[in-house]
Amino acid sequence: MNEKKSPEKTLPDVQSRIENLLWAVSGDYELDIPADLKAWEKSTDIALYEAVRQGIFRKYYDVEQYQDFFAQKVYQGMIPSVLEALGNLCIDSAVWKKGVRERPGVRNLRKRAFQDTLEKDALRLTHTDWGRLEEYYLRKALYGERPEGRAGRILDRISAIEDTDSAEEICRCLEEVYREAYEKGLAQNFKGLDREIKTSDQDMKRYTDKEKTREEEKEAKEEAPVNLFSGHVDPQDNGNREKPRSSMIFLDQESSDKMEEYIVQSYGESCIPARLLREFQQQVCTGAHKDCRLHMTRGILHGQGKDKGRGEYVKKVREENLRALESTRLITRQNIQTLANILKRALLIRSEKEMLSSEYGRIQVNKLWNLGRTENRKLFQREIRREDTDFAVEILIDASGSQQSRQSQVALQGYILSAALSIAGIPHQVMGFCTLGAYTVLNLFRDFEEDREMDQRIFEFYGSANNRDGLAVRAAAAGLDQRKEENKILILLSDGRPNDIMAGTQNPGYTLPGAKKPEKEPYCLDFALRDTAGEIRKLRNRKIAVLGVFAGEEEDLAAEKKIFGKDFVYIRDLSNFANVVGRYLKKQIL
Amino acid sequence: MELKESLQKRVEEFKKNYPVDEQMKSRITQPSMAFYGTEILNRAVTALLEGENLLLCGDKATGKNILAENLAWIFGRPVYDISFHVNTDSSSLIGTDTFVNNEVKLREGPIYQCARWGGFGILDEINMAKSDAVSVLHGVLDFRRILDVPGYDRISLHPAARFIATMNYGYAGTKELNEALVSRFMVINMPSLTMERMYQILENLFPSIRREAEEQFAGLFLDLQMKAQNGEISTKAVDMRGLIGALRMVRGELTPLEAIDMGITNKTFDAFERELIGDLVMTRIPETWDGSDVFDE
Repeated sequence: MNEKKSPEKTLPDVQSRIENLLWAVSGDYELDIPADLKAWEKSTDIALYEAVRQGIFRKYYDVEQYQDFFAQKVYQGMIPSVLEALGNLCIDSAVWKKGVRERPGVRNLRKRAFQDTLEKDALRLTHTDWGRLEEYYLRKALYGERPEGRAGRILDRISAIEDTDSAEEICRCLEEVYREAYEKGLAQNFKGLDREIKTSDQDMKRYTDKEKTREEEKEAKEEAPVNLFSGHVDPQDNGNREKPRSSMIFLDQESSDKMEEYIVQSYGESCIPARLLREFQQQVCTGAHKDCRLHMTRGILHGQGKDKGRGEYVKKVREENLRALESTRLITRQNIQTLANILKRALLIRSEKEMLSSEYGRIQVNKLWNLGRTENRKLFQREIRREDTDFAVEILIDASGSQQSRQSQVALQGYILSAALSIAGIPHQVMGFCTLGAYTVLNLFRDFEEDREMDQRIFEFYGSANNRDGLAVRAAAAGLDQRKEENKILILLSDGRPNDIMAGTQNPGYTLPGAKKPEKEPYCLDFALRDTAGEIRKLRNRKIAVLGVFAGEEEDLAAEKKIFGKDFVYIRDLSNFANVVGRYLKKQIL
Repeated sequence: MELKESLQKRVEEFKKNYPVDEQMKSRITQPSMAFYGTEILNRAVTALLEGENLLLCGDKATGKNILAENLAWIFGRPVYDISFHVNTDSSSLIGTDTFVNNEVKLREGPIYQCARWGGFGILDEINMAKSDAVSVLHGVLDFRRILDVPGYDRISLHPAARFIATMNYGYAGTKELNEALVSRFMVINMPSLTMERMYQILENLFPSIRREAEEQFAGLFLDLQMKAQNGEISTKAVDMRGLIGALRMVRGELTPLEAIDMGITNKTFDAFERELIGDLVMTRIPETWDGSDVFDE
């Protein structure tokens, strides 16, 4: 049941497990807590119990009030780490009974978590005064040992709030405990704080707007907005820095305003009416992708793209891609034929009729001699027909900067898929995606309804800017949903590295310690991986089959696996492409 | 389960007007569970009294089939279960040739029997019906109330014959029903299960269940339902039958944890999903529990 952790557990899984528990306990599926991988490594139970504790706390108490109090106290000079450690004890005291009442299993979980903490965190618990206090608290909870003296008094105070319903009382208790235990002793030793420590009878000072602005200015300096059009920002960077930095680049107002114009100029004009686009956006850009925009285009060479330079570039890329096709013409043709044959055969088997003798059905004259002569009663024939259900396939290709070095390879793979599907007569759409600023550009190479000639359009494929995989997958799925076909398949060619660190203009608000960040998280690394993996899981729940075709560096294979689970293929050598992909598609069709 | 008095009277009248043929009485079956939801029941009964057919839409485990069975029981009609899958075609619904006493005769399909004997046909998962099967339904379901049997007669439906269709609809991506078919039904959207409803069901099935255990089993189910609605897990583990089965096994002396493992957790075959469900179970059902914590002796 509750299996012990396996050593190869990875952050997204852990995060997802912890979040799921938090959501279930609190009943609120919008919450967000960062997973503590270190605690997880120490003991699964510690991490899971923390999620339960947070969940119950959020369910029963006004968390914001607690966070405000916390920020205020830190501002008044209390030491955040001490306050946090003591706060956790107070919260635990207030929530554990409620937790056990609601979910009796929590009692054992708490016990295990406490035992593990005592055992594995021994160093931390003996290192500091507040660590010692925590140890007393754990021991008291586990074995009922009550220490003498001051520590005992403090624990009694903490236990007194076990039945409280107000966050205010928790705050009050925390403040008293802090003052009782540490303030005086610690104040002299602590050098990091240049503000004077207020005495307790002085009124709590409100965090004024003026100070908040000052903080914001400081933050703003750290994350200065970037003007895309003046300086040099390498959009092809794709998070490929020496050290992955999980911060965002903010665009200044001017860049944001010009963005739409710039997108149209460099990627081609929109190919769907503005009203439809707006509706589409409203439907798709929610949750982590709030404030994102979509731009759907047929590419700069079709319609009225204005940027001549870019147009020329695309033409050049196309020639290059076509040259790649030329040099691998034989392999490509074989691949297309093989894949098309696999698909055709699979479809044929599917629509084949099965005839069997039966006691009812259509009468078979040549068997009627049996009547009255033998016991054989199977004189009829019954036809079992597998229903010809139909398919629609969407091929979604990561067209971000990271693909630039292998764009002709990717284009070829897309072409093989598209051409084979055309031969097999399966309607399919081919779309590339990349993200610049708030805009995720969906470049439609070939629509479901179009005929074979359009397969060649994929050779206009090139890589640029970032990629917001989760959003693109969502958009593609919305397109698939509108198809009438019963079975839907999404094939995603990507490098397992969703990355969009450029955001629209946003005010990076000041965040209090422990408070949920109001700003959007940068879309890269684990956050992006999780989002994309989540989207894929959602699609599978909606019975859309998803296949990942990995077109990236070997080092990103693990990430790709996280996104797609077992349904992904890694193409080392193009000559085997059709067989590998064919095997998967065949499985879906049969 | 309470019916409005006026409706009850009309149902009695209906039963008197359309007595069930002796040989079909074996098909009148008592439902496995009562349906709790007075308002919905009243609506459904009214529709059936007025000669309408019903379509019950709802998520997994909202009691669609239970309601259908209960309705047939209330009206005292024979039940014909017709489930739709890829191989359900017109001949399997209406009937086809067979030999009886060295004579070619019609082997009656469930729709035919339902039409002839005035039964209640439960069309299970009607959204899975293929076009061939749907074409049969059209004539039967609309005002014409006729059934054309190729090579045989064209029969009119018995005046007491009704059809109750069910479909899974709720989580995104389920197949929709075509308009022409929907227009032949009155539609009831089945509400999701609530804690109270769960209590009613569990107490009815297991009168000796302890309140604390009941809370946890029902709570676990709702937790899973919510998780599925939020797309974090598939609906495989949101399984009422599994939960009830698990409770039965607890009565049969498995520990609650083992029983839940078999009845709920293992219903999903995705390892990660199992972990998520396992975490939830762990908070709800203490390992120390045994049968006596769940049932009063």
